[in-house]
Amino acid sequence: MTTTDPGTGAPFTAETFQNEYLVEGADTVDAVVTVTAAGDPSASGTATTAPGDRAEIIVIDTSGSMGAGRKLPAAREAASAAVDTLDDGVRFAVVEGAHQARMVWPLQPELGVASAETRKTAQAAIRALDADGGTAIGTWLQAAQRLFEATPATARHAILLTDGRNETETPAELAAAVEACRGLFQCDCRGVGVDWVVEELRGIASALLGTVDIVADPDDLAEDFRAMISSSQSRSVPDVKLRLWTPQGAVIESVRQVAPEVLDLSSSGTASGPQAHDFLLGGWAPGEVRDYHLRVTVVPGAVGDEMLAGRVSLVLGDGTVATQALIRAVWTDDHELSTRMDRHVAHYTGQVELADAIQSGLAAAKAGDEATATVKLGRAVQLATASGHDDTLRLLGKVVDVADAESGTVKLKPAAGQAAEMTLDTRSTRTVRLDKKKPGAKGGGS
Amino acid sequence: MDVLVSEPSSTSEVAVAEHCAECGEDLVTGAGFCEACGAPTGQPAAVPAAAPPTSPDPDELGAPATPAPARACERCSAEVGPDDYCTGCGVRSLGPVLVDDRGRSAFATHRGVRHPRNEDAAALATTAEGWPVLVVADGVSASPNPHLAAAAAVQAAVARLGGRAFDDPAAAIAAAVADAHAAACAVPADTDPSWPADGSHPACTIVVAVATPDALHLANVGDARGYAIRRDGAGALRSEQLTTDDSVAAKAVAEGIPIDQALQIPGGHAITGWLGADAPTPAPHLATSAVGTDDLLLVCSDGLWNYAPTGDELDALLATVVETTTGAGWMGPTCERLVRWSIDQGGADNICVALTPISQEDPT
Repeated sequence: MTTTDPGTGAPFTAETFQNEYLVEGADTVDAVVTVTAAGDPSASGTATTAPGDRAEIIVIDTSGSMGAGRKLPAAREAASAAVDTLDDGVRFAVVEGAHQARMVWPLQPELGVASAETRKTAQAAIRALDADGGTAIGTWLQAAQRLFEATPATARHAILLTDGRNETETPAELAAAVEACRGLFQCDCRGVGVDWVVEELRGIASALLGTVDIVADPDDLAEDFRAMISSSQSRSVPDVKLRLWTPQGAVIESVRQVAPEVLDLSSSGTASGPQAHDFLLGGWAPGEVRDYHLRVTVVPGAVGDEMLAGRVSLVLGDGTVATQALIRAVWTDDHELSTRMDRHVAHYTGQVELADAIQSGLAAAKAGDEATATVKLGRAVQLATASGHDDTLRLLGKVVDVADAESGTVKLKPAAGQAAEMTLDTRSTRTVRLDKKKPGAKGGGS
Repeated sequence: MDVLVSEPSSTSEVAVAEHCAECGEDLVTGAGFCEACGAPTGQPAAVPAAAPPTSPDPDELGAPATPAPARACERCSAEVGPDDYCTGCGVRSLGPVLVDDRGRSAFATHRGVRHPRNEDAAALATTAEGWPVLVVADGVSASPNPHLAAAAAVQAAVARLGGRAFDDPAAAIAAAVADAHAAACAVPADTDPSWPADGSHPACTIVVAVATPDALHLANVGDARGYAIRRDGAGALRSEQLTTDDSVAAKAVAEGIPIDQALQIPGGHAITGWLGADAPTPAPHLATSAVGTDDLLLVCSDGLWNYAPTGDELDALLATVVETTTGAGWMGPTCERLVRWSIDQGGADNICVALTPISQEDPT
């Protein structure tokens, strides 16, 4: 159901897709809520973020391993390109990370302001970067945290580049550092080469509402950095929250972003009022569309009862509720109604399974369990084919030989190569949206 | 004439404009109370999603039902929000019965218990002679936008009869049904969020009835019914069904199967005639019945008569529900009691009941 009219100038619209009909006694309510940011936020009355209200920090790994090959020169170029992309007036800093973090520009621990002159001095400092020392990503994040905490800017974003695993500190230390940054800034993470750990960077990126990707070829870094800064600067509506009201006795089972990529928000909810929990969504760019799959269990009603199983509100930084969407539950003894599965829910359930199949398949392959790897990656090929996920299918094709895509019959490639496996792993969470033109299962009726 | 059409309150458009004076919480536009602390907001209460009255007729008395005050949940006693959902347990409140009492005639309608929206519609009018016109339509649940089809049909029918001379009853009533059919056909099929685009079309049943001082004139397509209610020698109310159900069960009855058995036939309630773009050419059943001063005209959807399918059952019901048939102000409450009784029986379908007494008096 459409919940807000795009013509009203609301900064967001939200739409619910679900089969609200439940069989007697059923308690699980699934819904996909599509949230769309208005195409032109200035026309909607929402103030766009001024440059001085934005802060960017570029964190570059300068551990000893970065000295190998083209990695450090490429990282220098990429950081320099990122600085080049900053709008005048944006607050920024460049930080280098090894076993501890160190300011590159400015030298004192605070953010500078982008201008023709500061961009030049920052780029000069970047050119002087050298590789030496270990990798303690938690300390890098702490440095960014301190800088962001001291700035009045509300739209806060960082880029983190590393080439290796976090080894100069414990996983617990890293986890604590990530937790301290949650909600303070968004962080896009990039791994260069093949010696970093996908799971580690994915953990940081998902907690800090950023993207994660592999840059297998160092020469592609500069373009990627430019794109990340541009994309961050386009996010003109900062600090958006999803508020989920649920009825008494209900349990929020999961809240997942499912498009454009899978991001499990379930554990990040904080109580925000009577029967309400808030989930941080970060900043939004004009026209951006994201899909969320929510699952709530409720106290089952009697046949004929209708219940509001959830009310989804989009809350802006100033506390204004921009739009709402309703998740309903209706108990029925009409099995034709209750056995239908909403095609959006079905589609994204498949996309999440696809990501899981890829990740567990690659993990099995790494552990030497070829049988499990073959089954899981075969299932992934099947799911990617069924949902028309061509990008993932192409990446899967570099790891397995596909005998029959529809049945998911595959053979592991003997020498797939680590870069291919890490690329597939990193991008496994990217989803495709449902093709609206394809007809879904038709509903019945008495 | 006013056309008061009940529509689904499923619209979930909610925008926030104000903050609660007590706790600062954001207020939902139209909310009578703060969702967080329960303090009154002072905002005008949300208007129920009813179709705006079309071409109001100043001659008609009565006004649409006023917005309901804050209500307590029937389940948990927490406050029911402006969208009809309980702010505590989330269960949708049954909500008030919509009553439109014009003094001369009245109707009451409710979505019942099991249907999420009310797909029944009714409209009242008077002919140029001042004779009451009652129209009830029941949207076919197994079609897209049935509530819109029903609303369009009743509006078209009363537009044909209201304010015009009723000098050729059969022709006028047939024309009203034809207009209602055309209006139902014009309802779009693809805008119903709760129905997939499957090529089917909006559909509804209809009863059009006019009560002249000496006769009732009715036409029906589908299974909504019209009854003449008369008093027998002992003063008891006796109903006579004047309409003919277009249903599988009615066909069985015509072949000699008792009504209570016929209604148990699988698919017995399936209708064999309706209005709408994919309907067979409507062949309305026309009926005329002589009446006297103390008689009544009752028109209702199957949401009522399913619980009292036979004449005896309906008479028994009327004996308990109809307290008086004289004086002023009894019609709306009587319609409402009939609707509430149907809800109490299980409310398996939408319910709509319209009523008018036969009067020799000049209605002005």
